[in-house]
Amino acid sequence: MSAALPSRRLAWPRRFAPGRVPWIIGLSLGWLALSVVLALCADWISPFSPTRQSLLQRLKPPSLLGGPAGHLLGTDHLGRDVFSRLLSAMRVSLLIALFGTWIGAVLGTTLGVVAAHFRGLVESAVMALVDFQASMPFLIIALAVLAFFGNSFTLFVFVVGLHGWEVYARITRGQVLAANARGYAGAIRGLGAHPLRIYLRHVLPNIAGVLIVQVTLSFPETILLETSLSFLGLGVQPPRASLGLMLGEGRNYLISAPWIGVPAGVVIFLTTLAMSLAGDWVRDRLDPRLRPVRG
Amino acid sequence: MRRIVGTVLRCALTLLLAVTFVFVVLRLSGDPARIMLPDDTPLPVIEAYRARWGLDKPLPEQFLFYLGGILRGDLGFSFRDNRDALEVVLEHVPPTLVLGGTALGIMLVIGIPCGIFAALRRGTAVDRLTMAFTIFGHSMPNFFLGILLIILFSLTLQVLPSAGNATWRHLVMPALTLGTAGAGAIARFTRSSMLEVLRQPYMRTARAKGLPVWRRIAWHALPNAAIPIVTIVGLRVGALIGGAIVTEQVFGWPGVGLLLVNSVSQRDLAVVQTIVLLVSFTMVAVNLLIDLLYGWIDPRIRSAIPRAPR
Repeated sequence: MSAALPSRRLAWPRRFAPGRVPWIIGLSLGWLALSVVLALCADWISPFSPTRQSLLQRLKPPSLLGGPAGHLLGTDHLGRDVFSRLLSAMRVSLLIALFGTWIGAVLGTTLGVVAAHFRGLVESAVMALVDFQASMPFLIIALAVLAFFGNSFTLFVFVVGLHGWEVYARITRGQVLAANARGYAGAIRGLGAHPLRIYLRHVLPNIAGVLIVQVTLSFPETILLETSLSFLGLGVQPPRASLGLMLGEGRNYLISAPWIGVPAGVVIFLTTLAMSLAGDWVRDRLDPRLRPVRG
Repeated sequence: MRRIVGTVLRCALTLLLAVTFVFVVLRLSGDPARIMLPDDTPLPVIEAYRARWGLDKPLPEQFLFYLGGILRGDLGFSFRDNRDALEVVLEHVPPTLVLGGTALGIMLVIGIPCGIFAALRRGTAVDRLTMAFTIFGHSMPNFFLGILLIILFSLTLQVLPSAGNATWRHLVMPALTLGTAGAGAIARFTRSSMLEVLRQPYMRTARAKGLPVWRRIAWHALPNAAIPIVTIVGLRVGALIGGAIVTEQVFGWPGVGLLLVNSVSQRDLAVVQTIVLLVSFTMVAVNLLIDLLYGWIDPRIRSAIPRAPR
């Protein structure tokens, strides 16, 4: 019996072994790594300052399309170098998505644990909030909050972060309830451990897999939310660059200078695509039940 | 019966939460009189506004006042249009309904057949193409898709207009932009739901009886696969409303989404709160409809068995 079923611990590394990674997943992971490196090293790679304007160099096409040498992706309506802005925008958008995803994950997970621990009225209140959040399109809520409070960068990051908390709360509550019903949590409780210790040291590591999968799912959504709001002109404000903002600015120059907006759109698409593909793949690896049955 | 009462109670709770949300956000953001009225409002008008909304009373009483106002249909005054906010918003609803309805139609007409076909031809090129389309729709931001469509059809081929809502030709690109993501999601769920049903014994029996394929699919498989599909369609309505905000902006479609974005940038907050409440009302209505549909599709749900906790 034990010989036929290799233990989970032994099976994992083989499932992630390089030879078993499909090429499209390899490409996705490569793109994600590249964009992180580009975003981190933006200051050193950028040929120009992303905010330096030059009115003599306005709307110049990319070097390859006959534009001036040095402006790899051309210049925008204020004569700023599009490539440098793109790098800076990648940094801003990825950072917001990263922070946003973690805010949502931490908040949602905490509320889920709280709901499962206290049960009763607390649980009902949390779940009512979850239902409410799930039934409202988040973009509307974000727009309303930004409208009433006015836009600031900190508030914007926090609002983006609120996105998706309800999914974590729902998942965590269910998982914690299940874990509490299992032997190990009861055993540790019997030893007199503090609830915080039980949840942080024992329950959370056990349910981390499910939560990590959810992180890979909500990261692309967070990018899309941030870029949508910035595209509408209600997110990241100039002179800061964001991928959505660049696309929004480039929209007015689609005929004369499509290179302002299109590269930013391509980067958003590739990043969310790579993240979704890689996330799907990780989920399939972590949870064999979801793998397609052959034959 | 118990199921319906429970559903209605849940709907009422969600609506109450939506109203509370707007109320709390409005109060947290400072003095509502200052925020809701333009900067150059004369003092007597501010005083009148305070008295009208009971802003000098304690908070719980203010909340009741606020609830009462909403129940009377009094949602404040749009200073940008000098009219009742509700009137302004309702004027923008028909274009959004046209856009959203068409996009929903596209989602269903593309999504469900694609999903069924992919399930029947599982593992073939058709299946893989459908799944690729799903992932494409999921990852493509609709504002970028819209811009690409404009570049292709309006600027390069010059066959479709890029802004406005005068003719049906104006509707093509916005509806496609808005419907694509949903079509992918529906195809994916239809596929997995169909796969689940196709392996049931009654499907084999139907086949053994010699029923033609279309009849097996339409009479035996689809009704049993319908519940998850209806669920995802209901969920997509929310995404549709969010997507409409962006899509209307891209194509200058004069609906509620465009109105919302303009009102947010110009801080015409009476309109913003009206739209938030209208959307929550719509979502509650959609959820109610979906719940009733469940009972209609699957008679087993109609009985008074309480539903499993989500």
